[in-house]
Formats: sequence, structure tokens, C-alpha cells
Amino acid sequence: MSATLELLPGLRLSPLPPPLPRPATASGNALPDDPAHEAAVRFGGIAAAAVHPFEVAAAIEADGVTDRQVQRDYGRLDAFELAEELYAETPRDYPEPEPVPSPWNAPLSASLLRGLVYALPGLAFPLGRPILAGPADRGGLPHGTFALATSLLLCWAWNQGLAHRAHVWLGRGGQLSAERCLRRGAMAGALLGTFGALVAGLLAGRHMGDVLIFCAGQSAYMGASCVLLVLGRESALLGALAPAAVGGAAVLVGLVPAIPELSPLLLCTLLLALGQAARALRSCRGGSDAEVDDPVPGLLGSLPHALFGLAMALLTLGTALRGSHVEVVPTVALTLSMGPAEWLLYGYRRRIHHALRTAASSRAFAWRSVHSLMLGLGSYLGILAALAVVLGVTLAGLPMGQQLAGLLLLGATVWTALLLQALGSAWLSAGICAPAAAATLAGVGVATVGGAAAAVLLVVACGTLGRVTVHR
Amino acid sequence: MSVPRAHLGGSPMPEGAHAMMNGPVEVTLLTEGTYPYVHGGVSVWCDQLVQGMPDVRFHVLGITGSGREPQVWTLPPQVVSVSSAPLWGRTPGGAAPRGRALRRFLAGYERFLLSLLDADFEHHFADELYELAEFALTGGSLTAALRSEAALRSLQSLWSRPFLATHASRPTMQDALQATDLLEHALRPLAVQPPSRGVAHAVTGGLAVLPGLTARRFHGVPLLLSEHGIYLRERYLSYRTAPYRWPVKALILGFFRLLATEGYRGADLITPCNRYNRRWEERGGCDPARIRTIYNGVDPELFPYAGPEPERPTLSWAGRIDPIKDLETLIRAFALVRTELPDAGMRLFGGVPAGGEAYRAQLDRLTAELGVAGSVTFEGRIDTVRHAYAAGSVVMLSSISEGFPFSLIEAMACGRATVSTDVGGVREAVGDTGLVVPPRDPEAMARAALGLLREPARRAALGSAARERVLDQFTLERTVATFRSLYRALLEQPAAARVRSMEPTLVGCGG
Repeated sequence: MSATLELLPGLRLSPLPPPLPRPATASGNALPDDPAHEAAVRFGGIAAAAVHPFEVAAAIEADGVTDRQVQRDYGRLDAFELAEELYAETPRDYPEPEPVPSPWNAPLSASLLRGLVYALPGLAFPLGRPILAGPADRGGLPHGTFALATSLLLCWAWNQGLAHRAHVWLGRGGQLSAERCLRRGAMAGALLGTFGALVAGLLAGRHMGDVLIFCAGQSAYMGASCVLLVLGRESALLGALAPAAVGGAAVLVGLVPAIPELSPLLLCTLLLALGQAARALRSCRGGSDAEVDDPVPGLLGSLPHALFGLAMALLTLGTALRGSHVEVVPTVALTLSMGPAEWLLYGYRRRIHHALRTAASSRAFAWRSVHSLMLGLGSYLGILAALAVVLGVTLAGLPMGQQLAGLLLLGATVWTALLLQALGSAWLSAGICAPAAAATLAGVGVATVGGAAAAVLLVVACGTLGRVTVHR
Repeated sequence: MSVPRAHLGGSPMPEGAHAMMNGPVEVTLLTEGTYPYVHGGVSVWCDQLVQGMPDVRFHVLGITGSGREPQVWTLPPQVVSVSSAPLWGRTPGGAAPRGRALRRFLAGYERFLLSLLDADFEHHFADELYELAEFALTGGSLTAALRSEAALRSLQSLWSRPFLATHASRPTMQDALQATDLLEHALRPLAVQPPSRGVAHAVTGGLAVLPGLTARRFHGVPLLLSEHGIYLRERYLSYRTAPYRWPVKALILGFFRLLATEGYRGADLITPCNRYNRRWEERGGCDPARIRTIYNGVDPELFPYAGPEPERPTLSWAGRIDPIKDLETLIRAFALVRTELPDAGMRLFGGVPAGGEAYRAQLDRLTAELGVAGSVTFEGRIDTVRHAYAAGSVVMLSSISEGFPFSLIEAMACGRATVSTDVGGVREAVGDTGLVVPPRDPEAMARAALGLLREPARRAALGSAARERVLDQFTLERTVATFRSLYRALLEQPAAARVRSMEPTLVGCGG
């Protein structure tokens, strides 16, 4: 018996296929009426699916038929002779293996839940209005905007990189390493966000007051939510968000005035989120560690993810900080749409899973990929437009006009970039979005930036994702 | 391809090139998934060989899975180095060739693929295989090249051509991805620096032969191939239930078949452990003059007479709890024995290999279902295997596939009568000193076991004849001495090792 390694990890092939059903006549000692026919009945299925006569010979032997039995029962010299005859006389048949279910069949509800936990933290702002009250920032923006935005940008970028790194560890089965990475990373992120707010506040040269406390809380919350999202504890995060979200919603619709006495709700959410994150991390500690001699995933690998996070944050904030006031509707619409966006990414991958199994040429596959991309993008833009219109009417009291075009172009950029990033082209996606974000900072209009970035991303995505090896 | 061919001196083996015997003989054992990383089977044989030749300098080059497998054998000082060629592990680095280099690579790769898919081009296989090896050994990243989009397109457009058998099975892009993936992993051993002196001794067919072939091709190192099971035959059986479509199977099994052929063609000597395997080797295109059967051997001092039989009529079995051992048939046969001899018992000695827990559970269900759970005992792994044989009145072997099973000749050495299945070299081992029944036939096995359990005198006679047979033909000393002389012969004059008259003669083996 030779020991045999399978070619791929996780591939387990049985060295002993199940015995073949034996025709009734084979058991008796008398010679069958027509040996050739009986052999065809017994081994015909194997011979039809075989790739070479040797495969039939192997099956004959493995079924316990010795050369003596071949001579006695089938009147052939040995298993090889019988196999060659069967292989030549049996028409080829191509049995299909069990279809592999697509791994991208995530339910829509999970994605909607994620969209909700992305968007709900926004309700902390109406609730925290008393804390954030103060003289207007430079440019007429509300008090503390610079500090808040800086802290938000830094945390967003940092946590994107952190999440990628933790996923890399988890993907290698290194739960302990992922725990360590998340714990330290989330703390560092919280410090970074707070420090960023402090510097921005000092540079803006205004009195900071409670804004810094708010920023510190916001940074700590983002670290905790990053931990919970990576470890798949969305419902725990939703629970933690409940106090602030309910309070914020009540203020927003005018049930209660925004009074400082409601601020403990924010603290409550923060503490709940931190507690849940600590719990999630603790449960990781019982897990396995990655193989010791595996090298630590390079920091460089997570850099494009952080950069991409920063670019996304800038582009989203860019739509919000227009002129001297904060535009809420596009930002909220974009954030809420992230849930369906994720689900549509899965949809694209589901269609690719199918396309790989049906396309007979690389060209046919490339077309299927483009078609699939357009379908996903179109659906996303439809959802985003609907969200924007509904939010525009409910929040601002008037439908979005010209702004809608800019928002949709920005949406196209975001979704296509996410798709590219999900399929391993993180640098490409970051490399296109970062200049776009820089242009937004420099004051170029949202529609121009979004339009240019979306066009470039689409061309690149059609080219890159039409390659079969990307979907390996 | 960037380095000129002359760099590797790509000429076939110059006869007697490394013949001069200065210092000890050097042997590189080429293993796959066995020694020194796994217990049992071929590893035992490797250990015997290594332990038996303290005067030889051994290197071990093992094809492994992840490359992180711990060594489970204590290696004697004559093993001077151990290295591994992981099949999976981390994806090897390096960039795919570009431009002209890529086009050249693809042209060769397409010829290679065509040789796997079209019987008319089979004769190109060896040349293209060595081209790929040369590419990998001169700094090219075979992995990166094979994983490139261009290589994938080559395969897809090639196997969709109407004149190839794969055309009718309508290959898809997914098939091309899977086939490329399998092929890329299978070819990773080509990138390992092959031994450049001494003898390369592949202890199994299949992938372990790859470094042996490159060693022979590029350094003129003589290649000895010892086959215990028939690798190709087992690959055919495994891929019957593999989760791949027909074209993928056709391609990868085509690779294994042509690799076997090239091994048989290229090895200086092939030493199957039984005559039964010769059928496959000769069918595979091996010149019978280069095949020499060398039986496995046991140390009779480690397996002395087992002494008195147990009082209760007992069947015993020793081995790995593995589907290939077909313990279902054994248990079913025992259930039939029990209906005639209600006080009979059966003891099964052996550990469950990793991943084999489901099979063990299945056997538990079977014993419960047949109502013999109380009289069949799973004893687990045992350190002193001879106690396992001593525990039985009759020793059983129910395997569906075997080379030249150690458990059988060990039981024979202990002087026990045996009932075994007619597979591989079993008939050659047992001769007329035990009973041989068709595999997968519980009734026949039960009849044989019952016959022996009812006739103590016959049991005793067969047992002593079995021990005599082992002392006469299957001693470890004899096996080791044969290999030692073969190593020397291969180094001095490879052609001399191919002597037909060296075939051992066996009495009463009925084959």
C-alpha cells in the first residue's frame, strides 16, 4: 500500500469506492449465459465514465475480481483484457458531480442588519447636540466639525485596515492572533482618533470643550464596533446601539428636546459596545492559534484597505460638508445603502460562481462578468436613488434635485470600488479612489469627481474582473 | 527558460558516470506522505532499510502536504539529511514570465497538455515534462506561470478542440481552473533541487518519482523505483468519487498515467514487492528485464513463535482502521462464524488514523446491527504487534488492496495459521501455509475461518509451515542484503542490475 497525498489541502478522496452491485448470475458457479453481457452489466457504468481502460481494470480489481475469476466468469485472460474490451465497447458518458452550492448565498437580512448598524450611529449627533454646541468653526461650519471629521476619518481608515488584518488572521485559523490584533488595534485606533481630534481642534484654534470628550467616545465606539463586525456580532452591536439610537430618533422627530440630560444615553451605548466587544474577544481566546512558522501578514497588505477606507470617508464626508452647512441626506442614504450594496456584491459573486460553471470560453466568461457587474451596479443605483428620494422627503422635506446625479455617480464609484476590493484588487481600488478623494478636498464638485472616478473604475473593473483567474 | 539548457547538462544518464566508489554509498530515499512523517505501511519498510544499512549515507526527500508535518520516526545517524517538498503549503512566490518568454513557455505547456489529452501525442510527455522541470530549476516560477490567465486560456482553448475526447464533455472555465490547480500542485516537486549523486530510490510510484526522474535526467543519478501498491491504480480508484467533471479527471489521471509510464521507462530498476504488481508495470510499458521482485521481510527474532493459542476460539487482526482494510467484510464474516461457534470472539488491534473516526463509527454501528458488538473488541494501537497475533487462534487479513503485507508475514513468522484475501502479493506470501479467499466475500471468509477453528491439528500444521516459509524466504536480512547489493550495482554499472535471472523463485505460491 503506498501512502498517497491528495493534491489539494482538504481534498479527501476515498481510496475504496463502494462495491458495485453484482448481477444475480455472478454468484452461482455455473458459467453465465453470456459473459460479455454480464461484464457489461456489472462494469458498464464504470467503463462509460472512465478516462482510460486502466481505470476499468482498477475498478475490476478493486471489486475483488481476481484474474482467475476473470478467466472463469468472463472468459478473458485478465482484468486488463476485459477492461480494454469494455472501454472500447461502451459509449462514453459524462456523469456530473454533485453541484457545489455557491458560498455566496448570504441572506439579505444579514446585509440589511449590517447597513443598519453602519447608519444608526449617525443618530448620536442629534442626541449629542448640547455637547457639541459652541461657536461656529472656520468657514461657518458648526462648532467642532473639524475635530469630529478628523477623528472620524482617522478611525475609519484605521479600522478598515485593522479589519482586513484581523480577517487575514481568521482566514488562517489564527483566532488567538486575530484576538490580539483586534484588541491592540482597536485601542490604538481609539487613541489615534482622540489625538487627531485634539490636533485638529488646536489647529482650528477654537475652544474645544466637550467636543474632545465626544470625539474620544466616538473613537472608542468605532474600535468596539470594528471588533464586533469582524467577529460577526452584528446583533450584539445593534443591541448596544439601541439606547443612543432610540434617544437620537426621539430628538430627531421632536418627541423630546435635545437636552444635556439625555447624554448618558450616549455613554450607555458606548459602555454596552465596549462590554460586548470585550466579551467577543474573550470568546476568541479559547480558539486556535495560527501555525507558528507562518509569517505575520505584512502590514503593507492592509495599507490599501486603510487607504481605501480613508478615501471612502472623505468622499462621503465631502458630500456632507458642502459650503457652510452639513448636508445630511446624501450621507445617510449612502450609509444605509451599504447593507444592500454588500448583498449585491454577494449577488455578483453568485452569478460568477454560476458563470464559471457554464461559460465554455474565456471570452464568453468575460461578457458574463461585465453583464453581471452592470446588473449589480444598476440595482445598487436604483436602491440608492430610492433611499435618497425617501430620505430627502422625510428629513429635509423636499426631494433631491440636482444633487441626486452627484450622489448616484458617487454611489457608482463606491460600489465598483468595493467590488474591486472584494476581489483582491485593493491597490487598484485605493489607487483610483484616493485621488478622487483628494480632488474632493481640493473643492472639485461631487458630480465631476464621482463621474470621473466611476468611469475609470468601471473600465478597470470590466477588464480586471473579466479574467477567470481573479475568481480562483 | 532564461538560462541556457547547457547549464543543466540536459543529457540522459551517462552509463557508469558516478561509478567510482570513494567512501560510503549515498542513497536519497524519495517518499510521499510516508517516512519519516507517518507510522505504518511503507514507513516501516523504509525504517527497516535504513536501520539495516548503517554503512550507507541516507538522505530523505519527502513529498509532504503542508510541509509542517512533524517527524514521527527517530532517525539513526546514517540518515544525514531530511528535506521536504510540500505539495500545498504556501503558494511559492515568483512572477510569471512575460512577453516572449511567456509565449515560449506557453508553447511548451500546450504540447505538455496535448500529450495528456491526446494518445497520439503521448510520446511528447517526457520531453515537455523535463522542459517544465528545467524552467522551474533555473529560476522560473512554475507556479506563477501555470496560475497565469494565459496558461488558463491555453488549456481552455486546447481541450475544447473537436478532435479531443474532452470536447464532448464540454469543459467549462471552472474545469480549467480546477485542472490547472491540481496540475500546478502535482508539479511542485519539479522545483525541488534533485539529488546530484549516489542513488535516487523512490519508495513509491507517483509524485515521489518526479525528483528521481529529474535527478537522473540532469545529474545522471541512477533511479531505483520500489512499488508497494500500484500508485496509478489507487489514483484511478480515488478519482472515481472525486468532485470533478470528466475533463478534469481525464487531464489529471492522464498526468498520473504518463508519469507512471515515464517512471517505468526511466528507472534503471523497478522492484515491486510482489509479482502481482508486475502486471501493472508491464502494462505500463516497463521492460520486464528491468523489473525485479523483492519481497518484504521480517526479523524472525522480533516475531518468535507465539506460544499457546488463547483458550477461547479467537480471530485476530492487526492494522490501521481504514476502509482499504475492508473491516466490514471481516465483521460480517465473524458474525457468520458466531452463528456456528457461539463462544468465538474477535480482537482487532490498530489505531484510527486522523480523519478515520467516521469509519470507526460505521464499524461500531455494523457490529451492533449484526449483534456481535459484545464479542468484537477494538483494542486500539498496540506497541508490541506480535501480541496481537498471539491473541488469535487464527489471524485474519481482509484487505481489498495490499502490496506484500507485513501483518501477514509477521503473523506467519509467529507460527499462526492465517485466512487472507486474494489481493496483491498475498498469495505469494502465504503459499500453501494458510487459506486465501476472494476479497469482499464474507461467506467464503467465514467458511475458511470456521474450518480452521474446528481443526486444531490443521491449524498447528499450517502455523509451523508458515514460520518455516518466512525463515526460508522472507527474512529482513535477505531484503536488506538485496537492496544493499542493488545500490552498489546501480552505482557501479546500472545495466548490470537488470538481470532477469535474479527473479526470486517461490515454491507453492500457486501464482
